[in-house]
Amino acid sequence: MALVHQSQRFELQGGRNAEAPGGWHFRFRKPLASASQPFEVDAERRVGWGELPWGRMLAWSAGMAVLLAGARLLRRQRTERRRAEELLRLGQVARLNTLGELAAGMAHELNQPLTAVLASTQAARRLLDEEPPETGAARDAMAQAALQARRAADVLGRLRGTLERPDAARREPVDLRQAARRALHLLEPEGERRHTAMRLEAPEQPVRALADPVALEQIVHNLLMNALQALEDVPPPRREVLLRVRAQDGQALLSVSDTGPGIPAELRSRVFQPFFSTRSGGLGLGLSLSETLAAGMGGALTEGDAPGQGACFVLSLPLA
Amino acid sequence: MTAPSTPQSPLIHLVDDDAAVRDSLALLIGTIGLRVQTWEAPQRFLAEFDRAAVGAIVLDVRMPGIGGLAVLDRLIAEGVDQPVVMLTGHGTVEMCRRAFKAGAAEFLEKPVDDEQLLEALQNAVRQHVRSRERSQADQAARRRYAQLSEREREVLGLIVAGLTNKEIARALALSPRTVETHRANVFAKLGCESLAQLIRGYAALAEEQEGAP
Repeated sequence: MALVHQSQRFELQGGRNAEAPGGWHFRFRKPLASASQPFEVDAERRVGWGELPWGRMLAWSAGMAVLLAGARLLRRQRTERRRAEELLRLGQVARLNTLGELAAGMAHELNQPLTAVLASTQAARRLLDEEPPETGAARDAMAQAALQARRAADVLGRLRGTLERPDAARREPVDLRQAARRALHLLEPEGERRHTAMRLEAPEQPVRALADPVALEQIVHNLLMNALQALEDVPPPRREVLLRVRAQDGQALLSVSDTGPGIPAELRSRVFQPFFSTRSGGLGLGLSLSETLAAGMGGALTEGDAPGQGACFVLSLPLA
Repeated sequence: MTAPSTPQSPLIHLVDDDAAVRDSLALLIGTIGLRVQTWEAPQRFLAEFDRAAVGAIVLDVRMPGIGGLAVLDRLIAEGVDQPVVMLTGHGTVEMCRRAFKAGAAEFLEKPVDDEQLLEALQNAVRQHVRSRERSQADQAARRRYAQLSEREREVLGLIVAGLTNKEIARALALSPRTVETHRANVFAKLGCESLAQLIRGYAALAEEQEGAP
């Protein structure tokens, strides 16, 4: 730093100005606004490469890199989970759509012959009521009714043919513990949102079942969702879902039980019926679809005994 | 089974693409003495059916090509006055709302009960007969009204407005005798024997014509 007056230079403080050849050069000049001392302040500083805080800069960069990588990993995990959920949901929706279309088509196909049967029989009754009864026309009407009743039966026969599963071609050995873990992982955010603890009880060794992985996943997903929804009216600290996997009597078993209100005894026989739901707004297809899927894999879905008063469903599959 | 009042029994047009449904419903409708004409193709029905006949139309909502609701729209747009009964296998509230908004007389679900269908058809036919009679009476009244002279129309307008002969004479600057002659002519030409009959039959027409030039 120096004071300058009419090309005269008074050094106030020397520095490492000269000895640093590279780096950055900073300079600051300012006239001192004073009539008695018309000096100019000239401050100069040169910062060399060696003076930079290399260690700290490196540490900061490394820290940021780790942080960014972590965030990215987290995000990828989340999207992967979301995608998996989406796929599962889509599979379900596709199946439900097919069911819906089937139902609509079937309704129309059955409605036509039923309309004809009803109209024919009622016309026949009216013809017989006449004085004198028109037996000939009534007989024709009854024949028509019988013909149309047979047509309705054919519609149902065709439907049954469409619905029957070809065979169990897509079955493969699946570790039920892994399937359970995967389903739990998928529904973890849902469980957190509902403040519900979900536990898995499984043996050390694999429980290999013969199953279609997609169908299995849908069944477990449905059972878990049902359990979560059954706990809505239970206070949060008592909301629990227990998933148990075990091999027993030559069968691979997966059970889902909850600490909810359970299913009233008088409704037990109906929970597997299509379009029956204890939930208002429930479609009533989850359990019936799951049961159909389980049966399609040579297994079964039954109601079990819950440890407490809640509901328990047991999926049994043939061991691989 | 009541005998229809019109010379020929009312004709029901039944449009449904399903032969079995068509035949059985036609048989059922026939049991109450209504004539039935069945149509498989809606387009053919639209092109050919007898618009002058008294009766009603039964339309299935779900038909290949042109749907029942579209046929209904076409009929209404054309000014067809036969009441339309819609039949559907899967009626939604929305569909029902649309049908009534478009002018359907009745909306029934398949399979339809005989009482329901036949009652709906009898109501529809009755309604159609009445509206045809009303429009015939209206046309006859118009024909008679057209025979009145300008002056007689003026007198009629004042009669239905409630004026006495003297008041009419004053209003039209005529002698009461002349007014009496016009009045007698009006009664004769319109075929009325009492004031009440005249007013019931022609008040609306006279008021409507007063507004017109």
